[in-house]
Amino acid sequence: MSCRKIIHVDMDAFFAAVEMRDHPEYRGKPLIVGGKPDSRGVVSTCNYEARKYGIHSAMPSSQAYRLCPQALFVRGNFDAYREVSQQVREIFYQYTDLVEPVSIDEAYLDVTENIPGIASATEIARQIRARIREKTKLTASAGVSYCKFLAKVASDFNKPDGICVITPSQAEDFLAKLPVGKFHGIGKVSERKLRNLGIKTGADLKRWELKDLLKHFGKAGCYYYNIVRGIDDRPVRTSWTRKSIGMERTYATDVADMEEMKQSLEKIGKKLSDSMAKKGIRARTITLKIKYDNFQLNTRALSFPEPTRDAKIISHSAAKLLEKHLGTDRSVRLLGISMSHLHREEVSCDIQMIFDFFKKVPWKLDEGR
Amino acid sequence: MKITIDKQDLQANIQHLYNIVPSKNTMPILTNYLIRADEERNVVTFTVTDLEITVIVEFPASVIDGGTAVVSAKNLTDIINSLPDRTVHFILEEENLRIQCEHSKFNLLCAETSQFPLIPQKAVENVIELDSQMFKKMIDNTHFAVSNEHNRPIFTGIFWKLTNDTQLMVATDGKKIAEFKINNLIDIPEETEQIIPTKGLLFLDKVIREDIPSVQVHVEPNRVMFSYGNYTIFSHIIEGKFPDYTRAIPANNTNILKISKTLLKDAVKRVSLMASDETFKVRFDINASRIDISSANREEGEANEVIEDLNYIGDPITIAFNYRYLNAILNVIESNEVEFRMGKATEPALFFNTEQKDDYTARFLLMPLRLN
Repeated sequence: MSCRKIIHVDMDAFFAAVEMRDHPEYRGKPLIVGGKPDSRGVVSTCNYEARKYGIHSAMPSSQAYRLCPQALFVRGNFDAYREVSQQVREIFYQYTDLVEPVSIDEAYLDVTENIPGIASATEIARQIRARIREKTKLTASAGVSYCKFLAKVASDFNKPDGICVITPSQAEDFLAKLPVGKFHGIGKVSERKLRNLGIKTGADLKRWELKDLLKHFGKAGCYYYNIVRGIDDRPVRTSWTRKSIGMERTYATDVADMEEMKQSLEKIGKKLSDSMAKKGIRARTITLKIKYDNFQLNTRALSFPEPTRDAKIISHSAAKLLEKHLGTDRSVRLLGISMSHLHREEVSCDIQMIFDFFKKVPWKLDEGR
Repeated sequence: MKITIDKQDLQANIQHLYNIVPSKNTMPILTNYLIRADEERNVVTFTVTDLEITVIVEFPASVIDGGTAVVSAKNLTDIINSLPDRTVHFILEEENLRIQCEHSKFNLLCAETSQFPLIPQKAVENVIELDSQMFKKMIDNTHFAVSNEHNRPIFTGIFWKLTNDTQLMVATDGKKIAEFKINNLIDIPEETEQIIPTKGLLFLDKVIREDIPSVQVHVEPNRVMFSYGNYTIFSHIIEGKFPDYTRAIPANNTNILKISKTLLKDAVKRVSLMASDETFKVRFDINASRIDISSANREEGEANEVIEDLNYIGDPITIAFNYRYLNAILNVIESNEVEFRMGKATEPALFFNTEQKDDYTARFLLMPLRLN
C-alpha cells in the first residue's frame, strides 16, 4: 500500500466555469450558479470573481446578493454539467479503471498500475489536465500523492488550474505547515474545537497523543491522528453504492399549515417512489427532515417491517412523523424525506425471510403516538 | 406528610420504578412519582404511570403524618441513590418535599397532585393465581422475540392465552417465533387470550423473586392487572387478533442436529465478528461429520470455524441465519445441548431444549436468510 500513486482531480468552480464557457457575456463578472437572490435558494457554485466578495457554495443566495448586488445569478444547466462530467471521466478511463467519482466534478484515480504504463503519476496528472482543457475548454486542478487524503489536500493547494505533488518524503513537512482548517474532513465546527485546544496547524495536531484526541473527538480523533501522519489506507473504490435517496422542498414563504405540509410530503413521496422504482431499490428506514423558519433543523426517523417504496406508505409515514414531532405553532421553511437502509432488487441473496402470516397482517400507519 | 424509613428499604422497593417513566416526554406530569402516606396503616405507596402501564408499590414505613406529594422521579431516584445507608425523613411543607438523611437536606418542588392521572383500583375479586416462577420463565423465554415495529402493533406485545389446562405465551417479529407452554390445571373463570405489551411484563419479570410463589392476575376488557408481593401493575392490552402462527411451524423437518450449546455459541460469536453488519449473516454447512460455520464481509474479510463434535441425522444442508436472532434463541435454551430441526434452506428451522420437561415446553422458530 505504501507505494500507491493516487491522483485527485477537481474541476475548478465547475458549474460557474461551464456557464462562462457557454456564455462569454458572463466572463469577468461575479457569477453565481444557484438560487435567485430573492428566492430562498443557496449558492451552488460561484466563480472566482464572486469568491473575492466572500461568497461561497451553500451560502443563501440572499446573503450572496447582499455581499455583491452586481453579481449575475443563473439557475444552471445540469444537462451540460453532466455531459462535461462524462467527457472528463472518459479521459480518466484512458489511464486507469480504478476511478472513484466523488461527485459530478471530482474523482480519485489510482494510477499505480495504469494503461499507458507511465511511471510518473505527475506526468499522468499533467496529461489529464491538458486533455481536459483541450476537450472541454475548462480547467481542473490535480493533486498527486500516495494516498487519497494527501491527493485531495494537494489538489486544493494550488487551486485553480494548478497541480501539486506531495511525495512521501514531503508529506510530513507539508502537513506540519497546513492549517487544520485545510485538512479534508475537518469542518468548521471541528476546526473551532481544535483551535480552542491550541491546535492551529498540522504540527500542533501531531503533538497530541492518540488517547487525548480520542477523548476530545471520539472516533474522529483516530482519523485526525492518522491523517496528520499521512496515514490513509482507504482504497480507491470503483463501485460507489448509494446509501440513501432523498428529496426536499424549500418553501417560497414559511408554511405553518399542516395540510399544506402534508400535501408537499405526498408529492415528495410520489416522486421518491418513482425514482426508487427506476433505480430498483426499496428502503427500510424513512427520515423526515424539518427545517424551521429560524433554520433549526430536526430529523426524525422510523423503520418499516420490510423494505418498501410504496408512495402511500412513504407519504403517510412522513406525515405521521411530522404530526408527532412538529413543534407547536412553528413555521417551516423546508421539508424533506430521505430513505435509507436500501435494499437492491438485483441482489437477491442474503435476504432475511419473513413468515407469511406476519406479512399478511396489514400495516397500521396511523399508529402515531 | 411526614415519613421515616430506612434508606435501603426504600431503595429496594422503588428501584425498578424508574423504568416506567416515559422516555419520550408527552406529558410532564408523567415524569413524577405520586407518593402517598397512610398513617393508619403505616404504609407508603409510590405510583408511576406512562398512561399505558401503571405501577404501584406499597411498603411499610413509619408514617407520622399522612399525605400526598408528586415529585420528580429522576430527582428523587438520584437523591435516594446518593444517600448514605441511614434513616431518611420525608416532610411535606407546603409545596416542598423535604428529604433529610444524616447531614444532607434536599428540598424538592412538588407538582400539583390533582394533575396526576387517576390510578385504577386494585381488583380483589375474580383473580387468577399463577405460579410466579413459571410466569417469569414464560416471559424470559418469549419477550426477546417481540417486534419493535409500531406499524404492526399486535406484534409489539406478547400473546398470552390461558385455558383450563394450559398457559401459553408467544412472541414473534416475523423472523422468529418464541413459544412457551405450561401444562397444568388452573382454576380460571373463563378462557382468555390477550396481547400484552412487554413493558409491564418486563417490570414484573424484574421484581419476581423466589420467596413469593404466586402472582395474581385480573383481566378486564381493556386492561390486565398483575399483583405480586407489594407491587400492583396495570397494563393496557393491545387491540387486535393475534394470527394463527402455528401454520408457520413445520411438521416434518427431518434434518436433525444436536450440538453443545456452549460450543456452538462460542463458535458463532467468533465467526460473527466478520459477518456483514447489514444482514448479520452466518452460514452453516452441515453434514453428518462436521459443521462449517462461516461469514464473509466483502469489505473487511471472512471467518471460518469447524465443529466436528455433533450429532446430525439428515441430508447435508447449507443454511444461513442472522446470528443475532440465533444468539437470542441460544440464550434461552436451558439444556446443555440444543436441537435444531431443519427442512430446506429456505424453510424455518425449529429449536428445542434437548431435555424435555413434563410441565412445560419451549420451542423457537427462526427463518433463515435466503442464500444466492
